[in-house]
Parts: sequence; C-alpha cells; structure tokens
Amino acid sequence: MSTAATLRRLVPLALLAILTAPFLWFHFDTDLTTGTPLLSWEPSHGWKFLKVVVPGFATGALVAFLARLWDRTPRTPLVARASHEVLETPWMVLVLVATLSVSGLFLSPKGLSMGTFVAIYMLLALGLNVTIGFTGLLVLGYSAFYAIGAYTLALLSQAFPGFPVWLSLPAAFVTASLAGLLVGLPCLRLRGDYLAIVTLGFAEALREILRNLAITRGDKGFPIASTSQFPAIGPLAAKQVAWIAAIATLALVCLAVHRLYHSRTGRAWIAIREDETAAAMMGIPVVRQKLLAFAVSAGVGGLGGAIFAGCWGFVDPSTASFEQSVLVLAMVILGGIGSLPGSLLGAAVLYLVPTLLRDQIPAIADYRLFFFGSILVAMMLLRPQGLLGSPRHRLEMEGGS
Amino acid sequence: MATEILSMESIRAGYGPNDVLHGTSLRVDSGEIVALLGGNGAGKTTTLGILAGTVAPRTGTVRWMGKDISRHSIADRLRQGLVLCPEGRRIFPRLSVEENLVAGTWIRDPKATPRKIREAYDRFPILGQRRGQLGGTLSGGEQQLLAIARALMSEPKLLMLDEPSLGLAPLVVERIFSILVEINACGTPVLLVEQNANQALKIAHRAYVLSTGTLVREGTGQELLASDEIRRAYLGGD
Repeated sequence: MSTAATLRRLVPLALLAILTAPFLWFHFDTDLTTGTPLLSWEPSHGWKFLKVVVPGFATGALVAFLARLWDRTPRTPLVARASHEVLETPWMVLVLVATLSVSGLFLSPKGLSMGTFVAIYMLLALGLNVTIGFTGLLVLGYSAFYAIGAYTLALLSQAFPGFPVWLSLPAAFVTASLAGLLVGLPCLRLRGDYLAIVTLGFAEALREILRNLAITRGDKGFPIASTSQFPAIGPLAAKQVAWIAAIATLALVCLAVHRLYHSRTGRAWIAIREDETAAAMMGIPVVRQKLLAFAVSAGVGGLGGAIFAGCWGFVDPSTASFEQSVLVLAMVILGGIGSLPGSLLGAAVLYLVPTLLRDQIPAIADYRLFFFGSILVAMMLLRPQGLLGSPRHRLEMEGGS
Repeated sequence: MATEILSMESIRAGYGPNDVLHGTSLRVDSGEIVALLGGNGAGKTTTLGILAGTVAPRTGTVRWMGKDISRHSIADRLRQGLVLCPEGRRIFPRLSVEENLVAGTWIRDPKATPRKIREAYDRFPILGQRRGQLGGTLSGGEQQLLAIARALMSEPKLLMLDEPSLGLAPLVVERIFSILVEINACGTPVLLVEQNANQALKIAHRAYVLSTGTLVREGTGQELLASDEIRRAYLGGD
C-alpha cells in the first residue's frame, strides 16, 4: 500500500474521529419521570476514555505492527504461510498456560473473573473461526451453541444434584456438537448468506424456547447449585480453579484446532472454502467435512458456555442473544479471519476494552455499540485482514488475485 | 491390441425438463487419446460430468474396465483412476501451488505424497519454482499446468480434460497439448474435450463429434481433419 493510499484511507477515519469525539465529553440521557432529554457536559469523561483506549489501541497497533515486521514474507510473490504462525507452536501454548495459571494466585477476584471471561471469549472466537475462517461457512447464530453448553451444565446440575462440573464440560461439548450436527444436516445444503440466516434463526428460536420452557425456568434465569459450579480445591479458591480450568481448556482447544487446521481435515476445509465444487472433484467428502467443522465449532462454543455457567453460577436466555453472536463474530474479524492468534487477540481486545471502559466511566455503556462500530469501521479501513490476519485473506481483502 | 477401458452406452442426461444427451455412446481404449468435439451446448461437458460422476444419467450405463459404475460416487471413480481436470482449471486461487497439488491426493495414500510432489516438480519445473506462491497469482498457462499436475496427483488411469486450451495464447496451447501427448506416451489414455478442434485432432488417435446431444461423426483424428464437412462445421475456415 503506497503512502498516498494510506493517507486517503485516513480521511474517513478522521471524519469518524470528529463524529465520535463529542460523545466522549457529552452525556446524553433522558429524565425518566418527565421524559425530557438531558444533555450534560462531563469534562472528565473524555480523559478517562482516552486513558483506557489509547493504551489499549497502542498495544493493538504495536502487536499488528510487530506482526507485520515479523511476517517478512515479500509482498510479491505472495507466500501462503505467515511467519507469525510460530505463535501457534505447542511450546508457546505450554509456557502461556503455566504463566497464566501461576498468575491466578496473584490476581484479585475481579481480575480473575475478567481473565476467565477473556478465556471464555477466546474459546468462542476459536470455535467460530473453525466454521467462518477455515471452512468458509458464515454462522451468525453462534451464541446458540454457547447457550446449549451453559444450559447443559444447568440442567445436569438440576437433574443430578451435585453433578460435578468436570463431567459437565465434556457433556456440554457433546450436546453442543450434536446440536451442531442437527442444525448442520439440513442447512449445509445452503451456502453463504442463506446459511447465515438459518443459523441466525436457530439461535433466535432457541432463545425463545429457553424463555418459554418450564424446565429452563424462562426469563428469570437459572441459578446453578454451588455444588455444580467450579469448586475450591485445597488452597485454591473457586474463582482460581475456574480461571485455571478455563486456561487449560483454552490451551487444549488451541492445540486441537491447530492440529486439525494443519491436518488433512484442515486442508479439506480450506479447499471447501476456496472452491466447493473443485473440492468435491478432488474426492473430498464435502458434506461430511462441513458437518465435522460445524460439530467441532459448535462443541467448542458449548465448552465456552459450560465454563461460563460453572464460574458465573447463573444462566439466562440472553446467553443465546444475537448481540452475543455478533460480539464473537466481531472478535474473529478484528483479530483476523482464519488466523488462530488473531482470534485470541481479537477476543482479548474486544472483551477487555469495553469492560475496562465501563469500570472507568459507567455512562460509556450506553455508547458501547457505537464505539464498537467505530472500531470495526476503522479496522476495515486500516487493516481489513484483521490485526493478525492470515495472508490468504489479505489477498482476498486487498482484491488481488 | 487395444482393449476398451471406459465406455458409456445410450446415455440420456440433462438438467431440469431438458435433455442434453439423447442416448449418446462412446468408448475409450487403452493407450488412446480421444477427442470429443462440438460447438457450444453440444453436451461435451455434460458427457464428462456423466463419466466423472458429477452428473447423474437418466438412462444408460457407464462402464469402467467392464464394470458398471453408473451409480458410483465421484470419490469412488477417482479411486479407480477416473480423473477429471475440470473446465476453467478450477485451481484453488488462495492455496499455494504445493497445497493445490496436495489437494489432488485426497483419495490416495498420503505417504506417497512427497514423492509425487517431487515428480510433479520434475515434470513441471516452473511449478517447483513457484511452489510457495498462491495459485491465483500464476499466469493462465501456469494455472492450467497446475490443474493438470493436480489431476496427475490423483494417479489417473484415464485422464479427462475439459477444454484445457480455454483462454490461453496459441504458444501456450501447443505446450499444453505436447504435455498431453507426453502423458499419453507414458501409458495413460486421455479423453479430451475441446473447442479448439484443429489442435485436438492433430494429437488425437480417435475423435467424436457431438452436436446438440447426438454423436454425428466418429473417426480417426486424420480422417476428421481431412473431412470437408467437419472442416466447415467445426474447424472454421474454408
């Protein structure tokens, strides 16, 4: 990309910044008793906002920049493998798990629960990446599988009081996978947008079912008996156990997805994403491979849901909300479609930035989606392949062929 | 003595209410290059689809080595060595050259893949030079080479090609055709669908001419090249 082209891309970005800026200092609200709109000026908001966002984005930009340096592959001829895939080596994962687990001893309870949520979202982003990134199946209702995982744990804890969370995790994986197969069977005959709509409909239908069934306790939500949540073990508090379990599961899923991606199966998935007809002509069993991708993706989503339920102790139908699906989709896109480290980074950034912001400035919660949109627009302009995007998709996004 | 390896007998096939092939029969013998010629919409690609298993026949049988394979899946036929190099090349544009080759080995023993990749690079050195490059960045001729190399990775006992000369410069077309002759010389029979009848007839031992779903002519390449009627109808010129 030439300097002039970069500058041209900055123009809409500047416009975006100018449009966004007033929201940093003004607070829009409505007086609930009279219904009159209120506009207040909060001089401290803007600075608090920048205090969180600037370091957050500086880190993101730094990572993206380093990835670009690290990715020494010449622009032409294009090479299909990025050097930052080193990040995916098993050793790296082991070191990370060890460090993170130990850090659990020192984190505050709030830090622990935030960390656990980051791990859960990382799981979801990894899982969604299997369908969207690897196999090219656009799934818009991913939260359905998350909810199925969470409710699996909840229902098991009700049916068998004291059902241990350690058995609920694999059970959630299995039920979510089966649900994935069930949805996948009829709708894998569809491609692209149509598949997206069907999965979206599935999530919406599931949410309504969860709201209306007696056994799922409707809108009130479902508190989970403490005996079925993550237990305290020895010197470790329950929160620390949940954190370590989340990290360990994440590492396991990371390795499994990495192995799958670089196996025959992964190559079949990529071939299907690239050209389904040609893949079928190579003798690749397209339907079976798509179903497998669907099941793996759904299963990982279910695992995420079960960890959420086991650590939060409460589930409600909003786990299957559309917003949840979009959030995870945005994580995959921000990090880089089809890239494992990208999914992890996207999940961390998109969970941590809004959460930290909300702690600093509670009023900001009103504009969460607005800032969200701004971030995505900025990404599409500056780095459409995502922070740690795979070179394959870079080619697609930059329109070369 | 040449023996018949592939045949289709009175095949009727089509899409929706319309028939494209009206009881068409043809055969390929061992060691042959057979050309299938015809204008647009004559049913050439449908014929290959019937043979490769991407199109189901309404009536009629496909025989491979004497066995009825009309109901076999694409993968089953590939395993038996019936390989189609599809129309428009259909390489994977965002897979590297090497990954494209590997995709062709799906139905074969993965242990043999490294050896076969070496052989492919020996045969097509240009692909070896570009092994890490994405398929979509190759030129049209290189992409066709890649498509042929990928088809060879499936270890064909009969190689079927759908218009390998499509959209290529005349010099490149000649190179592609000489490669087909080489492949044939190594013992693999070739069934070639072409619009470029002149070139195809020069290398073909036998040829069929298809017109709106019916075989109108069959003969050796030389016979058809010499025939005035064929010249006028399919080869252009006077």
